Amino acid sequence: MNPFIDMVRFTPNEKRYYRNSIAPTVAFLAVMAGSAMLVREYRDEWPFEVLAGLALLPVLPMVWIIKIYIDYFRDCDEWEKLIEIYGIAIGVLLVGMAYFALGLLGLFQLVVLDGTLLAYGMLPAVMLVYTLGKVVGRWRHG
Amino acid sequence: MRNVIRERRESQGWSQAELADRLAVSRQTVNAIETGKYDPSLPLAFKLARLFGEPIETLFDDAP
Repeated sequence: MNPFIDMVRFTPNEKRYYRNSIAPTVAFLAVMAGSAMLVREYRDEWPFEVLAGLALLPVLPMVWIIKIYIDYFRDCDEWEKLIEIYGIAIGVLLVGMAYFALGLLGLFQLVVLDGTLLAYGMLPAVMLVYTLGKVVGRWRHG
Repeated sequence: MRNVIRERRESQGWSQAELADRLAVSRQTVNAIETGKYDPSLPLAFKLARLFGEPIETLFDDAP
């Protein structure tokens, strides 16, 4: 069998993972939009604690997604776990290295970095490179 | 590591999916083992040996 064809054929565990991820993903988008709107609207009226709580609200659906991922990982067989670990390792190491390199450029004042954008973009960057890492893992071990 | 899992499976007339069901793993895992890209854990190797009624060393060969 062609391992690249296998990538688009989902196992029951993968199907469950993607199905279960829909609700928290929609929740994340809705909470994110709601939080942004409320914080922008009431920035000068509501106390900092309330605004900070609103700003951090999107973390909750992310925690929900992580819980679903942990359940998915638990139900993976040994080869699937290897591929997952491969993806996570590549994602964390490459993004960590990229951030370190950017940090060096900032440290030597060669570029001006937007810390907020960098902090916000870290998790999506890890997830993106994790997916690429899984493709590499399946290609090497599948 | 070379192995004869594909030959044993085909001699039983099983598809990769059928063997995967019997081993409680994914079909991709069976494919990775058959192509020699993944060496199974000891528990999974024992499962294969029991399923085919052969010792592990006849199914897997670590000779260079």
